[in-house]
Amino acid sequence: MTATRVIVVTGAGGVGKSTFAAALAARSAASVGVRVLLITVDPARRLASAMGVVAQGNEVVTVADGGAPFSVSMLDTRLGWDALIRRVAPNASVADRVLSNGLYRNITGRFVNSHDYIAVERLWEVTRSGLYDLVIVDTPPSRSALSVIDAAERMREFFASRLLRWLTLPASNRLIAVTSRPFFAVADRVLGSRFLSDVSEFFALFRLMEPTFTTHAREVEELLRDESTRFLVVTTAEPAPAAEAEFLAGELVRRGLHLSEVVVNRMIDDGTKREAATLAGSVVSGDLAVAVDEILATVEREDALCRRIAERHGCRVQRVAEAQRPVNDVAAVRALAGNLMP
Amino acid sequence: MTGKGGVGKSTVAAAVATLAARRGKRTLLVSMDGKDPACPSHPNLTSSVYRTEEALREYIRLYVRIPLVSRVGVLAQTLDFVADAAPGVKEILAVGKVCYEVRANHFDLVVVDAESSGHIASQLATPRTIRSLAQVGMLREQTDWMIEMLSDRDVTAALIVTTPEESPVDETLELAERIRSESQVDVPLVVVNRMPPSPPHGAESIAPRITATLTARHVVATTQVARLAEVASAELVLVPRASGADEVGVVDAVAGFLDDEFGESL
Repeated sequence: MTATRVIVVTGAGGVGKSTFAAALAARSAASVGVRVLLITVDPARRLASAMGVVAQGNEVVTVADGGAPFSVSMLDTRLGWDALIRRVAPNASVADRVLSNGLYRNITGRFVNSHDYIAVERLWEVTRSGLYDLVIVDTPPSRSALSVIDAAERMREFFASRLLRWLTLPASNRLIAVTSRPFFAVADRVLGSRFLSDVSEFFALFRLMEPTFTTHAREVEELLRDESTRFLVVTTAEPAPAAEAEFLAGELVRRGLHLSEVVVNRMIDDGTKREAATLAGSVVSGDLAVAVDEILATVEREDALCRRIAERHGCRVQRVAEAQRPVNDVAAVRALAGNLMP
Repeated sequence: MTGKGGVGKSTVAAAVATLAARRGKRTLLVSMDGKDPACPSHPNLTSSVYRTEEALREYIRLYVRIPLVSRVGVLAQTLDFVADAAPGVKEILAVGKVCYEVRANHFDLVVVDAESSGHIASQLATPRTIRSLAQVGMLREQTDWMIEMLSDRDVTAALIVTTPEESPVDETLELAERIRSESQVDVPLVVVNRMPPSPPHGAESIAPRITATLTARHVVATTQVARLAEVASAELVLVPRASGADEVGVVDAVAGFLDDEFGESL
């Protein structure tokens, strides 16, 4: 029912994922009339400020440097949760009570990796807005990407759990259930009864929001599984991120999601590669010989990785050469965008 | 050991543990991310993976004397729920587990391959947070000695691993500041991993492209190292980009480098 296409960009940390996502946004925006929103999680600071994104707040800014404009928004977990609570609470008074609960502030802010759910929530919101033709989501590094994807399902399970139901019963009823006693004893001894009753109150409030929450979570899940939602995995040819990328690609496919492309970033550029190949046959020594050997070994590793991904996962492999300068302004992002496969 | 994801934190942690073991220290390497640590085996080195569920069970067995603990079925579900629902339980268990190992004194050195930047500052601060959230209860009682252990500079240090790139360095500077102010854990050292080699000398004429590529990498790296040296208020250890047949090979290479460079002083 939604005409908005979604691209979810995943990958290990430190592979240039956020920068690639920005370049993808810039390239997509270059097609006339395509309205693009980039939801970014953790861009390099200088790139973020170059795009005009502020660290706090969910506001959408337009990157208008004279090139094709596209919108960018930084994900703010705290604000995202607050907005979500207001949306799903049955009335304003419940919302206020949740928002002012000390535990809520701690859960959303400090302890729980609550970022995951908010990322998909935000995605749901912007795809419904009708304001964009394409939304590109940058995800937190590595396995967290999977928890973003699984978040909606986990949220549903959470509300369906018997323990949640039990925990939110009044204390007098709770003691009746014999099977529940060990839990109460454990929790009481470990946490102290006052803390436990704070926890109960919080979850009691939370349960008032269950119906809306569950519907919501299902819609979010459908959105991720939709035909028009594509997943990309970004990596470098370094052994650790490459192993992570293969793991991610396999998991995405296993979950029935649409893996469309693996991007191998920071590859040795063609000029350097050719030069190293030529020099390998001639007599060089010292530092240069070491450098040539290393470049050729890297090239071999890169090629092997690209072949393996194409064979194993049957998806497109996009090779992106290492930039000569750090990509930390909009001009560099657009230059990178110009080199991407269509 | 902490640092932004993807900088080689686990590799450096494993290398330091390997080196300590080879130098005769009884060493424990604890991985917090659920992945088995990759490191060469050594009789002095014990490695383990921290798992919340196991730790919670162990904790309850030791400190909450409840007969039903043996009935795993119901209890496992219960325990998971306590850990998921009650803020701070997972964190205090993780921090607590490490603190217990230190107190038990079976090892000379405990190396923790800890959470990445996003989590570590609040995790280290958990004992203090718990103290302000939970007025009574067992967790509360146990926070005091943990706080003491963590803030003792002769016992505990947080080492941040980074690569010489802008974004990880930004994060390192921010993280050092947060750890120092929120948890009072000392940050004496920053490890700069994967330093690229200097470009080959005098090769511009025969290998202009290679020289340009390697120079570009080197310039970025030295610029970032200079930034760290100026702002980080910590000693820097530069580790060259290491290669190996697999992850264990890379760990071995980094351990070898650290030994050559700092063996005696470590």
